[in-house]
Amino acid sequence: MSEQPTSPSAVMSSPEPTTPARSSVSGRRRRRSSRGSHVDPVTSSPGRDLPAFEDESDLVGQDAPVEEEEDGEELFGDNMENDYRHIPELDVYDAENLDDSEYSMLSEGDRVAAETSMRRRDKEEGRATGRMRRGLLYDESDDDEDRPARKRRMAERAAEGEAPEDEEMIESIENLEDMKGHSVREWVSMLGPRTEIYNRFKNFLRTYVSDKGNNLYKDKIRQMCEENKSSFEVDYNIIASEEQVLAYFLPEAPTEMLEIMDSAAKDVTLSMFPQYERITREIHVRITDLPLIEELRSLRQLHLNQLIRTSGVVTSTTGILPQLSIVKYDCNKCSYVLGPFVQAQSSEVKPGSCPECQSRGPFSINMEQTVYQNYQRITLQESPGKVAAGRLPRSKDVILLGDLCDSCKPGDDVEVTGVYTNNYDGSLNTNQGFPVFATVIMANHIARKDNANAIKALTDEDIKAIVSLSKDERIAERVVASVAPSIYGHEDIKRALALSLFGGETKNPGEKHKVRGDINVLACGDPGTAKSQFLKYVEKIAPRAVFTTGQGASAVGLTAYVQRSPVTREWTLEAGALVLADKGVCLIDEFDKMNDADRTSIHEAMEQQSISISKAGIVTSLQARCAVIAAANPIGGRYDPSMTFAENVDLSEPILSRFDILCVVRDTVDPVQDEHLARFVVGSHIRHHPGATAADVTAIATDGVVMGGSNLSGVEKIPQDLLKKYIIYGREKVRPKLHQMDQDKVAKMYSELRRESMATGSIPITVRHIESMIRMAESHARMHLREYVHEDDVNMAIRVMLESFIDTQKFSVMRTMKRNFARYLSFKRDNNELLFFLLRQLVHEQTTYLRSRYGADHDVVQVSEKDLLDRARQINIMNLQPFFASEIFKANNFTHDAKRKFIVQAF
Amino acid sequence: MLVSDLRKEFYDVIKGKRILVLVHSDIDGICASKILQSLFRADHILYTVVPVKTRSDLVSAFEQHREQARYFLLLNCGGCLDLVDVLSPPEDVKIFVADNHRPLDVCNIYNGDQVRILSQLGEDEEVPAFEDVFREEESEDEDEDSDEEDGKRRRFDEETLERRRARRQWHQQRHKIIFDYTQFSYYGSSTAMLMFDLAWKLSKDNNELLWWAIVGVTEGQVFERTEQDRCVLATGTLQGHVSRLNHQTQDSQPLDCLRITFEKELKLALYRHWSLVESMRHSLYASTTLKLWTLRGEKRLQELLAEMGLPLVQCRQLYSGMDVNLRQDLRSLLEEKSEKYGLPDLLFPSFSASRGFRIKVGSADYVYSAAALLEPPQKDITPTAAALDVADCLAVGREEVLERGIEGSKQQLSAIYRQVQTFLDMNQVISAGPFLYATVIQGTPDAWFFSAPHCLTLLARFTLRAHVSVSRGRKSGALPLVLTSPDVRAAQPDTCLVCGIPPTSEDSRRNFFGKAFEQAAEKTASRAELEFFDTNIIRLSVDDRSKFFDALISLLS
Repeated sequence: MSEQPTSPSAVMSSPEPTTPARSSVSGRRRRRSSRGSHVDPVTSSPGRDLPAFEDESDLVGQDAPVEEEEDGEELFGDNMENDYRHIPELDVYDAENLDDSEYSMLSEGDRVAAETSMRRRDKEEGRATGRMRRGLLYDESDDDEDRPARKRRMAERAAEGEAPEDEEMIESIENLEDMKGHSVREWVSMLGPRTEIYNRFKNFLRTYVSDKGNNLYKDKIRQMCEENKSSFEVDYNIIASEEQVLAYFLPEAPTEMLEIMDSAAKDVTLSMFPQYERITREIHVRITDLPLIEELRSLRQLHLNQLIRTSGVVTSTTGILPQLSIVKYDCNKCSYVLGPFVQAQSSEVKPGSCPECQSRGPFSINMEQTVYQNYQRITLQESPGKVAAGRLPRSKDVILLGDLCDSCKPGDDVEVTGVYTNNYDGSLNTNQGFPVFATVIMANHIARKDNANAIKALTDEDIKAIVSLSKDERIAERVVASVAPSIYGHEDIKRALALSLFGGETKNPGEKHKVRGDINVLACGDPGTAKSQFLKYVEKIAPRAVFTTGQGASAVGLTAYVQRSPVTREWTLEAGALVLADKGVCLIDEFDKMNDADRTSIHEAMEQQSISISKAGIVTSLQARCAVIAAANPIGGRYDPSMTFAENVDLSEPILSRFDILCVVRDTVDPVQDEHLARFVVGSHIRHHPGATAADVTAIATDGVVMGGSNLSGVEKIPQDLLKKYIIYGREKVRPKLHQMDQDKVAKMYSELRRESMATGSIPITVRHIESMIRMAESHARMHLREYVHEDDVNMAIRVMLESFIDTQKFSVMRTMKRNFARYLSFKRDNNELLFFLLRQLVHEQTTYLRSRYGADHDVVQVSEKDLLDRARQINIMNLQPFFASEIFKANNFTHDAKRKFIVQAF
Repeated sequence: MLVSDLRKEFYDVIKGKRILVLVHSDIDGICASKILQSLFRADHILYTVVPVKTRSDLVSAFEQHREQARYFLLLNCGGCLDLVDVLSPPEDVKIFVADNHRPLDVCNIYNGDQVRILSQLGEDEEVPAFEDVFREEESEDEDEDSDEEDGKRRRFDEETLERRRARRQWHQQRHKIIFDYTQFSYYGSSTAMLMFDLAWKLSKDNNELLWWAIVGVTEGQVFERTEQDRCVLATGTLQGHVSRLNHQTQDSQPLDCLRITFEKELKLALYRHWSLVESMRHSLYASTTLKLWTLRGEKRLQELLAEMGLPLVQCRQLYSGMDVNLRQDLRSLLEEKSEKYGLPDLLFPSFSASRGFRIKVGSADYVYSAAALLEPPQKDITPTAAALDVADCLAVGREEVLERGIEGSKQQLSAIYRQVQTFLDMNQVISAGPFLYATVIQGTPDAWFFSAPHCLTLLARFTLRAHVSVSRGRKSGALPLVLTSPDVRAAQPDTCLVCGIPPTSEDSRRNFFGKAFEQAAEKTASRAELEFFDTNIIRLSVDDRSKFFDALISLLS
């Protein structure tokens, strides 16, 4: 210890005085509380009840001299240099206090190495070592070797919440939130904050790494450039989590912020793809997932000039008009080109005087050199479902610029993110009498809510899943089983719907006339058989579907109608249901309730696949390449099997022949089937209740497996969204071709059928039936994602067509036909299913006989095995043993009594 | 007999005489025939040109015309056949052969009188020495006769035993030498180039003849027939000629004449007449390296185009519709990016011709167009008419034939691409032991395109490269490929064409399939017709296909 107390800290550095002070403080506390003075240390100030000032002279020590005031130490005296003299004894570390037991003396080499590494570290981190930082003199270069260090540094700093250093010589603003009293808009428009925001956003785009570990925005930019688009999406929540300040500023001053963000995005893009300038000139940033969704109704003045998000239905769109963005004017007097002026959204910019000839003369727009951008105005109306009860929906105008144009069409349900602005419209003044502004939303991002979004991207994994599905042999069965899984039975309707969804192949022989490829289905039957449910299901799963009902549609509404357009005030053509469903499915319910006049308008669409208009001076023909799926009720409520189809349904032959598949749904009384149906319906209700718990679902699922009635019992269903993608993929990519169709078989069958139909006086077979068979075969091949049509497909198509045809005949005719065409009808049906069908017929006959004979219902029905064997022999099935051992036999409460050769069914 | 001085021993001989030219229906031969035709016309030599496609065509054409001419010239055909045997010409007939198929038959080389070979043999082509292959015939006959006369007594004479053993050894040796010599079939230098040399020596060369020679040489490059170093040498010589004949500036010559330039070309098929994206997809090199049949490959292509700054909209449309600045920069931009995307050989030195203000056409474009014209998709064009079409398309002023050929070539290339995609999607390229095997399914609508030798070879090469690029093991790079396709153009039903190509990992273009097919066919006595002059393609009856392949597998393993 030195004897001269030159550094005052020497006194304080000794550790002794503190411990007594600490104990005295705690002693003081103890003393205070022992006095019991009812003062709560939480609420009152701590210094109120301190004891009297004690004499601390014993603490401090006697040796500190009491100094008088007059002679303070003179710091700037004559010999102030003395204070700075060199004292070598003090410039040494105190050997006693220095604890270098763990460290040894550094050798010279080590020390040099350590110094160089420290110097390098300093240089990398850019610490001012008394020299200028590297980046200050030379331009920023985005070399890869620079970037890791800088990225790391910036990422670290961004993570800590500090501001990264500016590239330019403007001082970095540590605290952007502190707006120094300006409003947000002013603050953001000032140069300093503006560059700061620019840099921060650029940094954010470059360095944000998502959960999956990839640089999210770089990937998005790469994707955007690959498709030559000019905008990409940024999620608001991610900005909010990374750069809170930007997320705070964005909704308050959206126009300015978006401008800054656009320029930052453009720089980042150009750094990745330097030549991208050639492809598009500007890059836009689209903000998605703004947390607060407003209703259209509730936009008020406090939302003005803010970024908002609403949803609604698009009712009308104008065409795409060019809007001036960078204008150049010609001076009429001296033909000098003035400009370029950047045109703002709100007011028209006009030059004052020409710089060459100083005239204020008329200026005309130079059309070639002006840069335009696309402009479209749409009207957004509140979704009808969301309107408060008893009110009519309101609407707002939305302006789309640039590449947002044509991103939605009338009738779409969209969500719009944009800036809610006002514009001054002089005419409103005269209307209302005082200045009122018209409001408009300048859109920044439009997201369509319907499932059209799902179509866009079929990723590679999806395609792999789809292709692996298609390798399965029984894929057709699986698809049929997955159609409308919540409806029990009706396998034939499900098959017809599946075939129609996949569709055949359009052909265009010699470019002269078109042969359609769509399959039209008509389902007619007793009430309560879920026909409308099927239609609703198809609406959800088909890529493009339009749903109408017989009574609510008129001929004009179905096809196309002329309307006076509000913008251009001319007669324009608007699409009706059939045209909107082009390349899709048109679903018509209550088909028979339509007027005849209306129904004839469908004739043309169904066969010729086009709609011809000649009214209001417009003579044209529109495409309507849709498949029609219709549901109808028979006359008199119930289907009468003794009449033919045409007599049952009030439809004439021309329209009936245009349907490829006619399905008849009969509500027959069958105890076993009814029991299964009831069980299924109850289970379905329990499972799909919104408040269902997982336990309920599993409890029911085990029961639901036993659907022994249909042969689709063992088939595994495909999940619905995969089915949707499968349909889209199949329709787009696969084009099945017929090479080696067995022409003989088809020809023979056709001539037989015609003979039969003529003989029995039912609906005759026409050539249309052959075409529909070809279409069905192609559609079946498409289900398997096969490029060529196989024997199997043809057989299945024949079977479906024959079934539908035979079902529409009179009962007597039906039986004979069934017998004659048994070998076609029995294609692909499991033997077991066929035998079960026969057995059910026998049981049914037996029950009817027992009922008519003995009057009451019997619980036990017996059928002799020999009868079954006879019938089976007719369709070439010899062996019944596997049938008796099968699932389907047992599931329907049949038992086989081998001794007495009887089959017993118990209820 | 090998002819060293074409001028003295060939041209001067046939001056004033009548000559019959039999041309093989391939591009090189037709180019050579056109060069010769112009020479013949200049010197008023009577000639007849007959295009032949197969061996039987050659024989029948010879039979037809044997009375008419004393001198025959075979271009690109017949070099590998023993001509004296096959054609049995009369004594005073002289046959000149200029063939780029190797190995040339030894009988033709060593025939003293009737057969004269005009092609130059390169350094690496070793012909067996005369003594090894031929021997005094008389002593053999004498021995045979004397043996039979003298009967058993003489048979056990030591001398004769010695001689017989020596003879047998010699025969074995000879057999081995001939087998080694003929085992691999390959191609020598281009015949059109040879004919142009002749024209040059006669000082009758001009730009047009040079262009035909260029097209002939380019055929070897495009179909990967000639070895790399030989290609480079040929290109060098041709460049010398080009600079000699084309050094005058544009003003001094009328605008309408043919102008040939030497520059680096992109290895994209027909890119000037098609859109950029399409031509990338259908060219062998770019497509297999970038794997353009997968989605990821498409994305890479889009990334490449975005990096180069070429808008997708323009790249998908016709090349001639792209912006002028983009077109000019295209080559340099691609060169920069080629390293990054693994396409180092995208540029190769080649020639292009322009006439007047029309679009520049590269020599590779001519080759593709001619190949398509040779195998037209229409059914009613005979092979002769097709060959004459090719001759037409090479001539000056017949641009519409060239256009037709280019359209046909586009169809061909699309068919090939579709087929390769099917092969890869359905995993139809299977490994059959010592080689890979793929077959085009009966009844494919594109099978019409593949029933022709050029297209089939192109399909085989594309398939092999594509398969190697997707498969993960190292082995597939070392395996050759055998491809069969139903022959729907043949007269008899139920035949198929079989084509074999060497593996990709080997640099040399030597193909052993010719001999292999021949031996397998002999072993199984299948109904195979080894008719084509390109011996790696044969026509086989479909029923014999399976046993033929079994024999082939056992032969090659």
